[in-house]
Amino acid sequence: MITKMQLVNLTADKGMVDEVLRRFIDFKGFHPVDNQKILTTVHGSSTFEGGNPATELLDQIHEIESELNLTLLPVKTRKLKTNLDDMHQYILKSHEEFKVEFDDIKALEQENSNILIALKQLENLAELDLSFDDLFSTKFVSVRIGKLPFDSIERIRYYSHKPFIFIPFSEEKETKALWCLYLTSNEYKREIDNLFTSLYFERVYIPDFVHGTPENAKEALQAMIKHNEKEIDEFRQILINLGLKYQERLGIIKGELEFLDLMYKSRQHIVLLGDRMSISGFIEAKSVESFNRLFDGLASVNIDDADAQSDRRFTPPTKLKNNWFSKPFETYVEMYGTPTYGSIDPTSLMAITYTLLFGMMFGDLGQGLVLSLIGFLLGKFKNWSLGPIVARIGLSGAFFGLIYGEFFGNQDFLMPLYDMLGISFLPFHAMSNENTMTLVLMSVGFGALLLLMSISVSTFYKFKLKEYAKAITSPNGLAGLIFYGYIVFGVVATMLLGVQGLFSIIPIILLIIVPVLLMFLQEPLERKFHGHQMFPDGIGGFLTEGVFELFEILLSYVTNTLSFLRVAGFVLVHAGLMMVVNTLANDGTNIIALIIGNLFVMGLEGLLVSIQVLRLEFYEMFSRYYDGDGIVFNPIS
Amino acid sequence: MIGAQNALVTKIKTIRSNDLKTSDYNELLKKRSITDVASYLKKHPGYIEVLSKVSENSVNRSRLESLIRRQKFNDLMRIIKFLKMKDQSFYLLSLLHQEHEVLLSMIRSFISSEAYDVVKDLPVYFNQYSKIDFEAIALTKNLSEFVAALNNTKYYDMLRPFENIKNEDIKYYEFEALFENDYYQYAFEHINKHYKGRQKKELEDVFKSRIEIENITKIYRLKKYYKAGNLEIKSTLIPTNRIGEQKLDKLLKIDDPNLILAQIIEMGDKTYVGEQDQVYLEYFTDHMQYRIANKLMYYGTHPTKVFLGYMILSDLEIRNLIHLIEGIRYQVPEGEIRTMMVF
Repeated sequence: MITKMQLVNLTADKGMVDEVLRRFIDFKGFHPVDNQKILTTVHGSSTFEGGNPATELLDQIHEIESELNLTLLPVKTRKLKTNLDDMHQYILKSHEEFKVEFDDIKALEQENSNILIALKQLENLAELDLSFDDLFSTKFVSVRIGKLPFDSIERIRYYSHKPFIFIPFSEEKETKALWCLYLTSNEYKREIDNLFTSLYFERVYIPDFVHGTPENAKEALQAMIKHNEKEIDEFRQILINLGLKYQERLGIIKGELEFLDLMYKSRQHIVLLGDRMSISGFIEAKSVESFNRLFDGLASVNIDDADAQSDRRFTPPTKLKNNWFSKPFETYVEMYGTPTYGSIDPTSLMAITYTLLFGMMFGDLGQGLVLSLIGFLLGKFKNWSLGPIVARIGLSGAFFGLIYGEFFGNQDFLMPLYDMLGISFLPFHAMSNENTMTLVLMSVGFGALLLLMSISVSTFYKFKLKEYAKAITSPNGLAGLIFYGYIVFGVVATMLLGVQGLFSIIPIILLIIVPVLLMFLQEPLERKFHGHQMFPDGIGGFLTEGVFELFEILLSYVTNTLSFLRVAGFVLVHAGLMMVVNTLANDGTNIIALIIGNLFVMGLEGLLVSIQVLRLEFYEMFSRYYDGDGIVFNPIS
Repeated sequence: MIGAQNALVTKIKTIRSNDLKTSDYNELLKKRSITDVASYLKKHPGYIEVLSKVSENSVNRSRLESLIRRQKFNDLMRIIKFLKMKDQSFYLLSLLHQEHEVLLSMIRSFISSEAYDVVKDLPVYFNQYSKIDFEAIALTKNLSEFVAALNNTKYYDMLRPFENIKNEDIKYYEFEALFENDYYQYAFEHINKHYKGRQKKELEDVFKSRIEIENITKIYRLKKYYKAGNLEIKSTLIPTNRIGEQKLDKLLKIDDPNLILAQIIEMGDKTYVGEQDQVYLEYFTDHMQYRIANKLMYYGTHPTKVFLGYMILSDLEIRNLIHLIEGIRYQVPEGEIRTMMVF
C-alpha cells in the first residue's frame, strides 16, 4: 500500500527563519519539494545565498577523529553557545597537540617499515658469513652487494681475468636473479663497477643501522622493531589520554556544528518572497497534526495542508506501507521501480504470487524447511535483506513438497502420512507419465489466471485514475480483458467441460473481434476522446504501423501465457535432479552424498527458480499493470 | 613418416603463432620509450619467457635487443630439439648463421678503435650449441689470436689465410662475403644430400632468390657508398648461376647506382615504393624476403620449406624490433620507423 501524503506549506516572517528552522529540523519525515519550480514560476521569489560555515570545521573534526581512530559522540544541542571563531581556535589547538604524538608515531612506523625492507634483504644474504661492519670498513677493498639478473649470470665467467672476486649466494625464485657480492681493489673499483653495471647488476645498500653478520643483524633488527612497537603503543596511549581530555568539549562543538549544518542544509529549501519565507513539502497525512504542534506558540507562522496531488508542479513521493508478510518483497518492487503515488503498490500481489510460484517450482518439504530456516537466520543475524523473503518462500516450497510427496528427494518418506490422513489423491508425483500433461496444463492455466489478474488490476487502476479511453481500449484494459478472458474461458470450457457453441459467430464477433478492433484503434480513440484529430499522420501510415503493432500485441498474449510452462519445467527439473542425487547416494544409503547432493540442488535450484519467478513477475505481470515511475519518499534529516 | 612431417609443420606453425602480429606492431609503434616497449613485450606470449623475469624499468636498449634475440633463439631450438639427430642437419643452418654472427661481431671488435666489451654482445647462451670456445675468443684482440682460438673448428682453416692481417687493415666485407658463402654452401650441400626432384628445386630456388637479392643490394651499396671498383665488388658477391655471368657484368657496368636501385625495384612489386626520393633499400629487400617467407610458411607442406619460411620471418621480426627500439631511442618519428619495418 502507498502511504497517504499531504502537501504542506509553512509560511512565516523572514525574521523568524532561525526559530522556525530550529524546530523544523527535529521533524523526521518531511520530503521537501524542489523549490526551483517555485522560484521559476513565482515572480520576485528568491532563496538564501551563501555557503555553509559549518562544513569546513566539521571536516577538521572528522580529520581528528580519523587520526585518533575514535568517534566523538556529538552532544545534541539546538542552541549555539560558542561562536565560530572560538570553535575554530579550539579545534586548531587540540589538533596541534594531537599532531605531535601522531607525528612521532608516524616516524616510528616509517622506521619499522625501513627495518622490514632491510630484513628482507638480509634474508637473501643469509648465507654470507661475514660481518657487515668488517666488510664496509675496509680501506683498500670495495665491497658491493646486490643481485645479478639471470641473463647476466652466465657472462660472469667470461670476465674471470678481470680484477674482482665474485661470491654468489642464493637465487631469487621469481626472477631467477642471483644474490651476490663482489670485491675489488679501490684502484679498479671504477672499472669493475662499470663492468657490473653493464651486466645490469642491481646494487643494494645495506642501511647503517645493520651490524654484524646477517644472522646477528636480523636478531638486532627484530629487537629494534619490537622496541619501536612498544614505543608506538605508549604514544597511542598518550593520544588516547589526550582524546579523553578534549573529547567532551569537542563533542559539544561537534554537536553545535552538526546543528548549524542541519540549519544551513534546511535553508536551501526555503523560498523568500518579500518579508515572508516559506517551505513546502510532503508529509504523511497522519503526521500533519504533530507537524502543526511543533510550531505552537510561534506568531506569524501559518501552515496550510492540501491533498498531495493538488499542485501539479510537484509529484508526491511514494512511501510504501505493507503488512508483515509482504514487507520484505518491497526490495523486489523497488528493483523494478518506485510505484507512482496514487497508483498501485504491487508489493502484496507480488508477495502472494511470488511465494506461490516459487513453492510450485521448488516443491520439496525437507529442502523447503531448510531453506526457510537459512533465510530466517541470515535475515535475523546477518541482516541479509533477502533473508525474510527466503524464509517465506521456503515455507511455500515445503508446502508444495507435501503436495508432490517430496522429502529431500525421497518420494516414499511421506507415504505413511497420506495413508494416515486418508488422502488418496496425493501425492502428485511430477515425474510419473500420467501426471505430466496435467502438470503442463495446470502451469499454463495458472499462468493464464495470473495474466487475467494483472490485466484486471490494470483496468481497475486506469479507471481509478480516470484514464477512461485507455481503460477501455488498451490491451491491458477492458478490451484486452474481454478478449483474453473469453478465449481462455472458451478453451477451458470447450476442452474440459465439453460446452459447445462458445466459438460460434456471434460470440466471436462480440467478444473477440470487437475487442481486437478496439485495441487496434486504441490511439486514435484516445486522441478523439481528448478532442484531437484521430489520424494526424494520415490513415495509411496508421494502418501500416497499426497492423504490426496489433500482431505484436496478440502474439504477446500467446508468449506470455506459454512462458508459464517453465513452472512445469522446473517441477520436473527438481524431480529429475533429486533422482540423480538419490542414484549417486545409492538410494540414500550414502549419507554424505545425500547431504552434499541435497545442498547442491537446494542452492542451485533455489537460485535458478527465484530468478525465473522474478522474471515472470517483472516481464509477464508487472509490464501489464505497473509503471514504477514514482519518486522515493526521501525526508531531510 | 608423413605423420612426423605433419607434426613438425604443426610445431613450427604453433611457435609462429606466438610471433608479433600487425596489431602488435601498430601498438608498439605508438610507444615512446624503451620501458613501454619492454612492458608491452613482457605481456606478449611470444616474449613472456625471457622478459617475465626482467623489470621493464631496468631494461635498456641493448639489453632488450639481446633478450629479444635470445627468445627467438630459444624458439628455434625448440623446433630443432623436436627433431631426431639425423634429420637435424638442414635445420642447423640457423645455428650456422648464429655462429657467423658471433665471429663477425668479434671481427668488428678488432676493427673498432674504441674499447669495446665484446662479451656484452655475445650470445653466450649459444655457447653450449657451438664448437666455438666463446671464452677463448672473447679474450682475443686480433686475427692471429682469433684464428688460434678457433683451433678445433672448421673456421680455423677458413680464416687461416687472414691470420696475419693487422686490425687496421681488416676489410670487413671480405669476411661478410666469406661467411655468406659458407652459409649458402652449407645450404646447397644439404639440400643436395637430403632432397630430390621438385622439393630440391623449390628449396634451391628460395636460396637462389635470396642470393640474387643480396648480390644486387651489395652492388648498389658498394657503388653508392664505397665507390668500390667492379672487380672488388665481384669478389664479394655470392656465386650463383641464377643470374648468369653476363647479366651480372651488365649490372656491374651500370655507373649510376640509382639505376641499379630501379632494377631492384623492377624485380619486386612497385607498390612498395614510397613517395620519397630515396626508397629505403633495406625495407624493400626485406619486404621481398617477407613475401617469399610468407608463401613458404603458409603454402609449404614439407617441414623444410615451412622451417625456412619461419627462419626468415623470425629474423625479420628481430630486425623490426631492433629498428623500432633504435628508432625510439634516437627519437625518430613514428612514420619513419614504420618505413623501416616489414609487416
